[in-house]
Amino acid sequence: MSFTNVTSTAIEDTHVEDKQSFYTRIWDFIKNSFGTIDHTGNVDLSSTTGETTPDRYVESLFLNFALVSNANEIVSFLYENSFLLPIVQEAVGEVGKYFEGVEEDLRLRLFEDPETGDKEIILIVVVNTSPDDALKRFEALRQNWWLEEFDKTQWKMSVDVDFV
Amino acid sequence: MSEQQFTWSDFLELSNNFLTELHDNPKDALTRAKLRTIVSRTYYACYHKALRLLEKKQRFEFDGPGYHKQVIEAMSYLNKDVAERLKRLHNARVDADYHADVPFNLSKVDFIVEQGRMLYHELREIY
Repeated sequence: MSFTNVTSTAIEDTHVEDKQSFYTRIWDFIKNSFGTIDHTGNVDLSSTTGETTPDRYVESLFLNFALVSNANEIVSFLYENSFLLPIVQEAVGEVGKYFEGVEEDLRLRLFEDPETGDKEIILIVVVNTSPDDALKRFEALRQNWWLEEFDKTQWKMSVDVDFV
Repeated sequence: MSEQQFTWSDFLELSNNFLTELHDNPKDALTRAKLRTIVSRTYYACYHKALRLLEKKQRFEFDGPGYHKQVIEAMSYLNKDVAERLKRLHNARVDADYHADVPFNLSKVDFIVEQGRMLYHELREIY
């Protein structure tokens, strides 16, 4: 008997127009707002001076993340998995609650497993505290919020901690 | 001297020993390689414990590629908390074994190993 996947709970999707328009709008927003894109596509989002008004989910998404790696790939992945946007957005507030005072950065990373080709978004909380303290805070985040959201992610999102 | 049989938990002990060495001598010439080895072996200790648990429960058969993913997804039926921990540990192991551009420092590996210990303990409790 083969293993069968868990049937995911109902997920309310966000409205997204055609892929090219979405991609272009987000990319223009990033370039117009922040202006610093290096040759690898990495974007420093530490300043917020843009005048463009994108979709409300994406606006809060990119305004809250200090660094996005491979921005074009992340945008593409989030377009294809737009059900993740509300979870990523909510994560900002939740992380702030549990890592107050020790949070240095919030990063989004597109992770790929070379053995399977599977991809997922990892939301990384970069902290300036001890591993023991980070673990206590992270466990609180997990138990009080993340484990419930994890069910909705279809294995396409993780939350993790890194250290300065 | 009789030879003790290898058990997967030996990987946890190895990881702890390496970590202690690195805390004592953080400028070890092989620090970066040791940090990745610690992460990788910590994951495999937990992975094999999880696999044995699932086989013992005789509720799942695994086949085809993506064995690690199958174990993690099967574990989610038994214990979601454990499955989520195992998934994150697996991601760390993939980074350690495949992504040379992802940095590992002592704090990060301390964090990962402590989670591995917690996970192994939880798997033992379920088992």
